[in-house]
Amino acid sequence: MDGVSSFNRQIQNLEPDEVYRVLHSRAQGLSEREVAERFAEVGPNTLQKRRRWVWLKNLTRQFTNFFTILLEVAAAICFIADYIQPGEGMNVLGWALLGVSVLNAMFSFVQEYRAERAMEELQKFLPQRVQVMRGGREQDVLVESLVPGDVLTLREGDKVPADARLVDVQDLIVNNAPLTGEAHAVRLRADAQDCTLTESTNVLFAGCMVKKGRGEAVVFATGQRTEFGKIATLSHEVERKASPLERETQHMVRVLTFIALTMGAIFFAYGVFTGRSLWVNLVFMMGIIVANVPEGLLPTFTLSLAMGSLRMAKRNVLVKSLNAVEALGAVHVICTDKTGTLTQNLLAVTSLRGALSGELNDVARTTALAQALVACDVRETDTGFAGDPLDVAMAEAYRAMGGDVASAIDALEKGFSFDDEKRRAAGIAMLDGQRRFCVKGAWESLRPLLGFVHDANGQAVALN
Amino acid sequence: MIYLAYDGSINGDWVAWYALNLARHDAQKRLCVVHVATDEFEASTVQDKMNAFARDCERAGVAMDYRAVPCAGPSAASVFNALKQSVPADADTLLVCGARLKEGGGGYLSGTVSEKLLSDRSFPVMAVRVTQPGLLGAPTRFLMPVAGDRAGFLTGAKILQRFGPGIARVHLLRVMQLKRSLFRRLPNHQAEVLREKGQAMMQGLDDELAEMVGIDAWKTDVHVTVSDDWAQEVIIAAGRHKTHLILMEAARHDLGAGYLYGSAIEVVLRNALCDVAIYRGVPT
Repeated sequence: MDGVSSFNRQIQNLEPDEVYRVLHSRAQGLSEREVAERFAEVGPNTLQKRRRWVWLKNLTRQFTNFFTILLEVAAAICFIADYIQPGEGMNVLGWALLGVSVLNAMFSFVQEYRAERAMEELQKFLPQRVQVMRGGREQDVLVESLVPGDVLTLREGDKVPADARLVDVQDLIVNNAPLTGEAHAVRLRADAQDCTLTESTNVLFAGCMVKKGRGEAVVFATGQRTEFGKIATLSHEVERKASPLERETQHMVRVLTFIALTMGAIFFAYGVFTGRSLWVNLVFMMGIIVANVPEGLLPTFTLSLAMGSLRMAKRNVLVKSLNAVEALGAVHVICTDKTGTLTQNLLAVTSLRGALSGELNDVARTTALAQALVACDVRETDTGFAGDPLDVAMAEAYRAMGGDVASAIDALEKGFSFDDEKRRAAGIAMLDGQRRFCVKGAWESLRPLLGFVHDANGQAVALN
Repeated sequence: MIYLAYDGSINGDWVAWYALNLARHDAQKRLCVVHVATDEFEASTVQDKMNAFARDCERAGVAMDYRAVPCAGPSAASVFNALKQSVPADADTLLVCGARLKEGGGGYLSGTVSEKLLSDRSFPVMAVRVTQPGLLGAPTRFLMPVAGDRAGFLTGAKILQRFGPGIARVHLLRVMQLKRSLFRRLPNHQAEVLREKGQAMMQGLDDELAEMVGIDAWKTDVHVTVSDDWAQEVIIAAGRHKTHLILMEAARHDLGAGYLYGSAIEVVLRNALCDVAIYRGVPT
């Protein structure tokens, strides 16, 4: 660990009251003039770089690689030959070669254009609008306009729009999965910490989501300068190296070109030596060169990779770049993050069991889920349930069994959020006319609290 | 002694943290802030900021001296002349200034006062582009691209030493640059030969740097890469090593001609996702 000593104090090492001062801000927020000055300095809070004409550059690149140029030159030779000696069908061959090169270039261009749009997908992790304090009052502003020093207020369900240092928290729990891949939510604090930025729990990171509580924070990094932006940009900026198959193909094309040109020159020299006319000789030479161009290679190469992609798609593997198919074939070991990458960070209830009775009947299952929901922190949104994946799974299961989740949530009188140290959450609610205190947590943490459990007949059995 | 060329902007405030941290670890523990008064920022605003900064310096145990220097005109040349007259031409002096994006879409150094200061070489200069204000000028992870200029390396080591004992990691990067056409056809075994050649050039440099800076030897290491685009390699290496500050020398002799929008230094300043410091020492 790179321990941060007192020699080098960074934003996470400061007490909350120092944060405003060092970021030249205040609890009332920045003035409009300060916002404008900082905006001019750091630019908009967005992950996307405005790269004008990049699509044209990519398109041009597709038409200027060595093999495509070879096909284009061969097509040009065919058209010249047809002009010199019409009626031989050379123009048809010319159009065919040109067609192959255009089709292949367009196919590769579309593939790369899709990859370019990956950044737009990452942008969706950031919200559209956010509540900030500016000029002494809370305002609803576009996320793009955020600047370092802006004071944010974030509540349950909000996405974090920029990296920000917390100055005040109330029971704040954040899901950092988009950044770290870690499924478990993190409880955040506002006090100073002696660790590095990414290890600290007093910082909100862009792209993450507030699961519970409320926090006030001062922005210190926006756009591509956020930790999320750095990862996104790095993955975007790294230039793709030619794959082994591409290198081999390029090498083969060079060899074939050399052979074609050499043979053309030899036959041209032979024609001159045997006294044929110049035009006949030229057309013959061009014919030799074009005949040696492997015009079928490029579409065969592209189609075979595309077919490989299709076969992988049938096995639920999405291939964005055709060359990745070949590169993947040469891989021995794959190291990958799991949660959120291979899996979706979604849980589901597969079975419900009583402590002594084993499998429960439908009535007991519904009752158990209703009681478990009392200790859950879940809410209903337009897109489904939101909250901790385990809580969401229980709400889904309760609904699937015909339970009314909205009523269960309304019945909650007092909730106790998950405590990392105690490893349990709890809640008080009116269930079937009785006020009940329900606890949810790890068995090791609940066991010491239990005096007895009910068996299948509802009889209390004492626990030793 | 550390000097800070302060322009009054928010970027200037962020650069000031760098100057303060360098001054904290400098033997003299003194910081002289020079502000060339132009029309860009009101004098009262600058004075308020300086009063607050003076308190920060006091807390850090650094003696701060503030000088507001009148300027003959608004041009970069006038500001440069005013600054040059205020800073002693001494190899032990270090002037810290900012690298701000010019209005109208220009570069970060091209045509700026910072470029003139770097080109002049009257005293060592470090132009900083701050992208992470949250660091508060206290980076702990560094990337030093090394081009082979011994004097430049020594100047960089001296600056690094002033970042103090909080340094966690220093990566030395040597990019073996090839022309694009050659690089694209470079076989693996030849790339390996070039890498070994680069490693031989860097032999012992990491240990030497650790000794000069006064940090544990394990905190420094050497990376050699073969590429056709060293600016891009520097940016990628900075991202991979989670670098806080890229500390690189402006080694070109013809700075005036080199700092165009497409130049490698401009590319690093524009595209790096961490802070970047461009330095240049006095001629030896």
